[in-house]
Amino acid sequence: LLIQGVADYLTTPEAYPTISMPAFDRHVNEQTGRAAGSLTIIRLKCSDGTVVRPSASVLLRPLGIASAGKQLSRLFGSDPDLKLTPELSAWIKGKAAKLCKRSTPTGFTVYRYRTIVDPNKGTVKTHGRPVVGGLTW
Amino acid sequence: VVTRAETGAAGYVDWLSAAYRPTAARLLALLRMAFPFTLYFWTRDPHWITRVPAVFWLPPPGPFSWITVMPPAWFIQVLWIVALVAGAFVILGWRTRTFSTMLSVLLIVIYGIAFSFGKVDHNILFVLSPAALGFAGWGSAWSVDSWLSRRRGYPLVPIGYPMVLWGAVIAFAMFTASFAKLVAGWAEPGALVTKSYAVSYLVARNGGALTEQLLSIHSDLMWKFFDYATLFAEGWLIVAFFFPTAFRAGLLLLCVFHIGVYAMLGINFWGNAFAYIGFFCLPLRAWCPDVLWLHDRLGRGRVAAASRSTEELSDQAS
Repeated sequence: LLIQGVADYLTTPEAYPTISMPAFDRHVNEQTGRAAGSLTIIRLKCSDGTVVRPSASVLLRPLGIASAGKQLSRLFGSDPDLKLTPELSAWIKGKAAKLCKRSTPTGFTVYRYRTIVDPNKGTVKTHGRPVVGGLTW
Repeated sequence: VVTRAETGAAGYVDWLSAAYRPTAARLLALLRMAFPFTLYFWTRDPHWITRVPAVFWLPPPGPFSWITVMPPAWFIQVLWIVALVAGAFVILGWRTRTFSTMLSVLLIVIYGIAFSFGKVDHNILFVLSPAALGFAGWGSAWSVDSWLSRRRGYPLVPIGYPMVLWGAVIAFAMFTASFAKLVAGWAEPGALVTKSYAVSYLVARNGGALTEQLLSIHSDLMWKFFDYATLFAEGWLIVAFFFPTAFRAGLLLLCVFHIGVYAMLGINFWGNAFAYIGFFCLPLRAWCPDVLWLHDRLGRGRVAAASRSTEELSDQAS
């Protein structure tokens, strides 16, 4: 137990399978009382002019919240190995089509913000310029 | 009632095994039959994996990282069908230990694939429960195995040592979470970490059923209490494990903690119930063997002291 526990603790991202429970190891600065976070905002444009703001997991269903956010982050910046192939573009378009309902999707933009979480004020504020990515169909 | 008969480490392990032995075989049998049903009806069908583009394959460090391409859909379907069959045999209680272990292994593989898209969920205690409880004897009643063994004249009974090991696994799993939090600074008096998560989850994921109500309470004392209570609830089991009464109390406290997490962040750990319930499958009085042992010792001490003073009195009288 100890050996796998130490290995798991030192490994990033988290390993599997391991005997562990979620760390929730966010650091809150004791002086300011604030913590760093991140926020992803998606703007999906439809051909009838409407703009839908789905969460990452709604756009990339059936991926879960964290996985969908991670994959969008990989897709638009953090992973040069993940290329936006025509097949992947078509897959996402198929998902987006369900969100545009009676019109067709024309593209979407992903804004990835760094945030400052202030538990004392109960606020989450974006910080700096977002990393922007997206697709047009 | 468990008594300390042996001495030394081996004696202590024997005593602990007896203290953790789930003697209520029928309760354990109900748990055995409930697990596959829970798996099939209340967990997510792994077929969703087959609908995800292969380019999203991103296995976590560990054995799954050796699989460089996403397994084909048929492989996932076969794994799930075999898991269904293993689960059916677990319900029937035929070769229970073998099929329970097989079910755990299959679930590790299925979830390993499901967690290879960027996020590992923490259901390891749920997944390992069949193997642990299979060895502890959840096939000892209302099963084909128990029927066959009775016919052979050797009725099956649940055993305690696997529960000792299982208890250590649960305690260690929880300890990893507490330790990581401690290192990250959860204990710092000025850091309201639970509240920071509640705020983030409310903004990004709508939080849980009570997030808004709890956030409307502006008491730093309460929020800091939640931080310390989390550290304690997850961390102390590693010590409490050696004292069955404390460990059982710790598991009950964890249930309260899980309900709190669900209410505040919307994250559910209901699957952990399978990991915990085995420790309560015995008569209520036997939940606290160490307290009874202590009471017994103190009682004997009082009797001894009383008899000593009686002897002294009779000496004085003579």
